Amino acid sequence: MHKTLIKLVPLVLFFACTREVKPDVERTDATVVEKQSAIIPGSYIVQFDDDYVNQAPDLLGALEGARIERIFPDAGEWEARHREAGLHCWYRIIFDSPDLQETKAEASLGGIPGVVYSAPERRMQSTAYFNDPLASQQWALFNDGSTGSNYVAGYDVNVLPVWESYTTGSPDVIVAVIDGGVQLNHPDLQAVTIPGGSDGSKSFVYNHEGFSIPADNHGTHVAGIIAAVNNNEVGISGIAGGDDGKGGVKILSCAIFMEDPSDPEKSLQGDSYNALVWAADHGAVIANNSWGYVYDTETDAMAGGVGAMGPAIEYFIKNAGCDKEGNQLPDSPMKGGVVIFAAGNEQYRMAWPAAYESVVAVGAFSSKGTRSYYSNYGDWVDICAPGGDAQLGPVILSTVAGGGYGNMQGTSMACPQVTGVAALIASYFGGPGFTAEMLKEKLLKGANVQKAPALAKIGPVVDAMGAFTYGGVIPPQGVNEFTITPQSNNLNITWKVTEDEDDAKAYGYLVLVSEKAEDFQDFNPKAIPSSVRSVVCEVGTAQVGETLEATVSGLSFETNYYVSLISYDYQHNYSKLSPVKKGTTEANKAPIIQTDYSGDWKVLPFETLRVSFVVSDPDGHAFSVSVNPGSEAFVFQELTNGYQVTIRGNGAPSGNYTAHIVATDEYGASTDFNISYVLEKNHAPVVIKQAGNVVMSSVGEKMVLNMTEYVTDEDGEKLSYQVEISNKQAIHASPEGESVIVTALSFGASDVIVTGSDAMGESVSVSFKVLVKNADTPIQAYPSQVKDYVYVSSAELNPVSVAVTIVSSTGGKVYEGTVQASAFEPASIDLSKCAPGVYSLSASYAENRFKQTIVKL
Amino acid sequence: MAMALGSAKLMAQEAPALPFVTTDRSAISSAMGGTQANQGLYNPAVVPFRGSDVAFSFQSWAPGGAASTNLNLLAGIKAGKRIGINVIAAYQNGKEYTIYDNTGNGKNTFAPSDLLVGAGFGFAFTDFLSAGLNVKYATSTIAQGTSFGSVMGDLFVTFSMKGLKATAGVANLGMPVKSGENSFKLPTSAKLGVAFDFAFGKSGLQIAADGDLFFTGGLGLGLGLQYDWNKMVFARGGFHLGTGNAPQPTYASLGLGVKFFGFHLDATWLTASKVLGNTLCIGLGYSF
Repeated sequence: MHKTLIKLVPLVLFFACTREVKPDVERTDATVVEKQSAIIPGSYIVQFDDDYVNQAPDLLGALEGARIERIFPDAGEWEARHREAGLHCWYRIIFDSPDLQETKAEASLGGIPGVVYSAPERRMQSTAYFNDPLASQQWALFNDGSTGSNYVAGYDVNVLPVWESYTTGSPDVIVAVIDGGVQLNHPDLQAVTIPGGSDGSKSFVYNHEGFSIPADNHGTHVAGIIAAVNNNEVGISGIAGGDDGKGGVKILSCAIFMEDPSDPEKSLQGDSYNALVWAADHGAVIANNSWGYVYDTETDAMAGGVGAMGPAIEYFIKNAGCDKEGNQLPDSPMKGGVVIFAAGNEQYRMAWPAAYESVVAVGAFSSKGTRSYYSNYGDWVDICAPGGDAQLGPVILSTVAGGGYGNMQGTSMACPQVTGVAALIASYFGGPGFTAEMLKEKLLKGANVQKAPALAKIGPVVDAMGAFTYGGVIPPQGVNEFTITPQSNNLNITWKVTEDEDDAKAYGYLVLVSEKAEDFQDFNPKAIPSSVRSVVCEVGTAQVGETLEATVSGLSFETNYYVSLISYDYQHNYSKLSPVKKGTTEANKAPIIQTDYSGDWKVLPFETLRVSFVVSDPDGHAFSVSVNPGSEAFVFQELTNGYQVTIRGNGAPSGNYTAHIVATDEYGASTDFNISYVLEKNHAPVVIKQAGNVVMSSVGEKMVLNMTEYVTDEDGEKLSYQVEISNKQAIHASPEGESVIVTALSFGASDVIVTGSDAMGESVSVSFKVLVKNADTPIQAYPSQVKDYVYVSSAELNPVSVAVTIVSSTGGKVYEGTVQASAFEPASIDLSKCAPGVYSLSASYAENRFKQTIVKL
Repeated sequence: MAMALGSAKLMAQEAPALPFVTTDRSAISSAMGGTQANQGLYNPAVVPFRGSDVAFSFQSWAPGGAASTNLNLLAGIKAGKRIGINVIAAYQNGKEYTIYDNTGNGKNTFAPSDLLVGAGFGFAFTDFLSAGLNVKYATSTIAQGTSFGSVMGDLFVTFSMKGLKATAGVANLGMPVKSGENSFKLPTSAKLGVAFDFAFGKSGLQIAADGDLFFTGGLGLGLGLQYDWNKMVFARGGFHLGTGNAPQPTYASLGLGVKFFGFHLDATWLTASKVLGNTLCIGLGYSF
């Protein structure tokens, strides 16, 4: 028979941590567990629009009884970058009266110009109890189900309330880790490991016996779960790792495995029998055994047994913490020892030595509360704990050899969770007369049966708080004083946390509300009448004397209610009923629709009017908004920070319209807001001046036409322009704002039509001609292939006398005369009587001479 | 895009088709005011009385107008005592022009060209009287894919006695040229010409006069004078008057020539015309 480590799956090492803000709990109804008030009384967060932020101190300063501060204060050299990121827009408002009703405060803030966001400041809660940077990844310590879909709330060891109210582990408790050797100088363990020596840790690996402990990943991982030092700003938190950075319970490493130096794939075996006996003889009162015997089949396992480990286990249970005469040592926290074994990872119904009656056998569950796929199971399994399940979600993070951290899964990881809780029990309850049997009773009977994975056969879920409060029968003190503050149809109740004689403080409260005072006569908290509304409020981290707040919502308006509270501890021992007080809910108030806009509601066709609205409910009730827009030009939109009305001047025919906005709260109270708006009539643009023709005398020349000299719109609208040209080779023309830019590209002529359009699509056109002439040829004759007429133009805008002569190819004169010609009004000469052939046309005026070959077709 | 809205319309006068058939391509006759009627290179009826001559000429034509470059081949071959045969071939390469469209925008270019080919036959009925007929084909390409052409003929009767030669006839008689729905007449003319040669010592002198009455209107009158020394060196001058629709304008001409062993080299320069001024013609021929 061989012993082996419980199988493990090494995963990725993590050296980073994340801190997350726990989402606040929303207002609850009677069936929902309510936490401590999620709101920081009197504190509000406000964001200003960038345009108003410079006035923020003045605007906020006008609030009575409030002080303000920038959330991101002036950052000196970084201030410019902070402002670019918008950090300067955020302020905190702290009202002197923290009891100021939320809705009143929000109403005050909502009326301040430029405020685009305002909300009460909420409490933050860390998932990590200590400052150990990797603690947030230790779901086994705290699992509220908020991390993701692979997590179900409550499937952890529930150690936080024990840390808070009882203990984080005492160095008087020595836990033996019968496993691979613990890295004694690991940064997160060094403070709690007992050095190797004749009175300390020892190696029992065959042929490697002695006081030099070979560091092993598995043994170090197990030790970290139990006792990694807390609050040392290093790595992880251990269940019994103390709270001052100096450590909690001590770790005695009894190495029974080590990596074979000649074949790292193999493991060298050790003497587990004597290791356990050594632990008993050297101060350990709890022995963690994350290992078991290897069986090739389940049948073999069913036929297996504890063998020689039986006497060793019984020796530890009987003699740990005792002197040679069997009496409890004066400095030992416990008489006798507790031996805890991992159930094993073969999915077998039997495993040894875990199935041995005298030990505590530990099965494993996942972060979703299911039995881990690998866990052995059966009625012999006493308790279960987080071991992880890589097939469903996260596994277990802890220390590993080499000074780092790593993820592993297995009952090997579940076993030290139980060991850690046992070590806490020994730390808090330990002392003269405290026995191993007492510890086992608290550990096993305090475990949570309700959360035990259904049909999993791995026992109840380890529950540190349950173990600590097990057997308690003294209820916490009742509530004598509380206040009732009505807010619409809700009642806000505040009171202070009360003491519990045996559990330090109350675990929770029932806030009870009824319309009938007689409901509280002979009140039985375990049989609450249906006419009584109750809200459960757990204390959480609040300490005795701190204020708690709960809200009972959804009550009837303007109704008298009787209110009482009752406190209870973790074992649901209930206090007496508090005095019954009367509170009256308020009348319902309709939502408010408001805007700062004070201008008129006339919109020209080319205009778009946008107006911001605030719609709110003074009672904080949910509300809906319906709109009858009056026309398609009216649009009502919900934005991230309010509402906006948009009226487009061209969205509908001109005329008078009325829009109706109705805001209705969830109880039917409504407010109307009517907007009468006018869509003004459109006036078409008109031409006020015709554009003259243009002669451009060089390629590349540019000309700018200011279209406002030619076209106007009675509505004062800036028109949009489009340009058409007939000869894209000669010129390029394009609109630019209210101008048209004409650029000469090559010699030639083009018609230009500029069309100006208004928002309603009504348009008007201005046309002109552009002639790009070669300055070297001021006279031009065209076409050069004449069918009937040849045209002769000058470069002048006004006609000039041009002498023209046309001769045949042999020099015979066919035309000679003086014509009147300008750039855009050329002279036309009829050549219809001229026979087809080549002709030469000569022309001149002033100093300009011109000759050109033309052909008559 | 029509750019001529509201412009004044003016009419050009009628111009005959294929006027280049009237161009004098001989470096000898063109120097004598274009007096062709009694030149053997044009009139096959004269060949039996003057003998054979073959000439090639190069013309830089009308630099102030059409500015074409002309290559010409003219021949008058005397066969036996009474027969004359003429050949004419000419190619005119016109100046490239830019094609402007109806809006004045220039696009591409085109170089026009003209071609003239023809042959003639003359017969002397007696030692004093002969007749001749030329048949010619002329075509003009003025635009891409646009050509016009026509077949035409000359008919001459020539009287010759001693140094006097007189010719009467019709030149360039043929079918009109059609363009679309319109027809355009050829530069047909009634031609009358007189030439007189006489010698004094080693020198010789020829006086020639031509007249063309064009059927399309207009009159062309040419007057020429040639002096030679020992039939080796020639000096020529002339004047041509063109009126009305006459294809050739008014101009004056001057020319020089040398002749050795039948080979003659001649040059002509036209002046006194805006269009034809500085027209040059260089001719190389052989007389036998």
